[in-house]
Amino acid sequence: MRLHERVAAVGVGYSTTGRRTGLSSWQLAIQACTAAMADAGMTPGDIDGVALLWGVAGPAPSGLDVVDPMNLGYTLGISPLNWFAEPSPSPAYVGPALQAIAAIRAGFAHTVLTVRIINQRASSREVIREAAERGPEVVTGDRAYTAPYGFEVGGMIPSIAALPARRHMDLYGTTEAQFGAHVVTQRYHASLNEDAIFREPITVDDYLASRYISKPVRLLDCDYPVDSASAVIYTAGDRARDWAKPPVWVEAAAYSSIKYLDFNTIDMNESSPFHAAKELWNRTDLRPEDVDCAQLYDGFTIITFQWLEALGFCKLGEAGPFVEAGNTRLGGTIPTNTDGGACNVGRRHGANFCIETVRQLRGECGARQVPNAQVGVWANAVGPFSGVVLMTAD
Amino acid sequence: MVPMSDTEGVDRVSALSPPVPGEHPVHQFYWDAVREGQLKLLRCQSCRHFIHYPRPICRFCGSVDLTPEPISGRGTLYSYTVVMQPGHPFFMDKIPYIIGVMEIDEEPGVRLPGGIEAAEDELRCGIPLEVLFKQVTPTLTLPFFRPTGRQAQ
Repeated sequence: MRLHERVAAVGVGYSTTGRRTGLSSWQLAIQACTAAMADAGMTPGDIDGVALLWGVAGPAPSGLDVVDPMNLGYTLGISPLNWFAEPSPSPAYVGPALQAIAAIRAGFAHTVLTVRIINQRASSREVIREAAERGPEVVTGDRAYTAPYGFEVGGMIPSIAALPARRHMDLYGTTEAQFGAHVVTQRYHASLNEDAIFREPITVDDYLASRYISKPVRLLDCDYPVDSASAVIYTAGDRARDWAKPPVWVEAAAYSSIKYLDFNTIDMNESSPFHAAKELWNRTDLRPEDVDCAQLYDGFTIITFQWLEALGFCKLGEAGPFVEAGNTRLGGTIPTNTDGGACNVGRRHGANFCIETVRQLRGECGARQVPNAQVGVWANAVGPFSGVVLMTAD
Repeated sequence: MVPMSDTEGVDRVSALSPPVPGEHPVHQFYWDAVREGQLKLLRCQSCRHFIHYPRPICRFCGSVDLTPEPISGRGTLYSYTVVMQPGHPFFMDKIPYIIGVMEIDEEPGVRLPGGIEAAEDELRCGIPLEVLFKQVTPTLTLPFFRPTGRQAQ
């Protein structure tokens, strides 16, 4: 591959992040983009592409303002904008990330700003109130097979998380304490991250005392909805060393869809991550044992388990004992979700895992730094669609 | 139990019914059959695969010759969950309730989501299930699944 076809991440940044910040999607987006440009030492004139994903996954609060790539580029002062995209549907942040990487490799743009803007979703109480005000609801198409039975809880917690988690337990003997070990490990990592929202260490007993949403999924298995935007700037290899920080290289990436957008009728424990991971390892000479840290989507605990298995860090069905034995903890064989995960840093819909990978491979992570981290993998989404990116230090 | 004080006084009409299946050209046959106490799935008349959820073209052979056919209503439990938090006014006084997915006996990999009529401790992934038609409201009957060999309650 020629140098300009290689792609590197050269700037990362977050907006203010928190519960109901009062900030609009536009304010969040501009904050994150400004932070990423400052991190790279760039001005808008250095950028010629924008890919973003806006919106709430799950029930949206009313009055959100749409952010689209063309308007964001124009508002930031990126002119002309040589390339722009918004994937739909998208497996969260990895959608715009992979579009940007592909566009740079293809030569459509040399430097692409990618953004995930996600406002805090409506609470279950708000959803119920709105449903009550709306009155009797008619559902058509695929939703008609699930909504009348009460599948739609907290967005889609039963379908995305509880059904696969139960099947994992019944097929492989996974225990609730093993799910808890993952939650405890992530919280320990968060305790070392000054930017995390939840930093107080917890125990497996604390986990087992937290309330169920949809068995076996508990409140502490769920990522934490916040207002936030996250931005990452990718650039072509021949420009990668022109910026303020060392580049972090995209070694390989893969994207996978196995079915139409439905979580209920798929092969739940071997869903799209298994296909994406297989392609990923086909596209690189690196092997799972070469990876120094993993940032694996934790919208719900079972998703991280599935990625650990799909990527080959442990065998199918063995994520429970693997996590319980401490392998995913800092100092373990594959430190995982070293920023604390979206359960503790807030729901960035995958973008935090890209940003944490970049920061680990730059050696910027302080108390939670994986010593001499050279190779990192981050993964996003699960079920019918997902994506994964392998990165290397300069 | 989640505090639901914010939802006190929710409109009683919406609390009387869950979301109800509406008319749709591709899916209509399924709900028409349910109203007659039958389970039917779309089946390709060329390669004989079931196509569920229903789609207007066969994903195996490309045929558009798809016809609803009755199925036995028997299968195995693919997975299940006990829902402990409501997501809709109708379910506020229904929790905890059980939902799940049945893989049909007629074709591996063909799965139907639905309500599960059982006690939690009766259930384990892989056990045999059969369909029953449960009247959910005076105007809505839905297919549910229960462990085989149990008497209707």
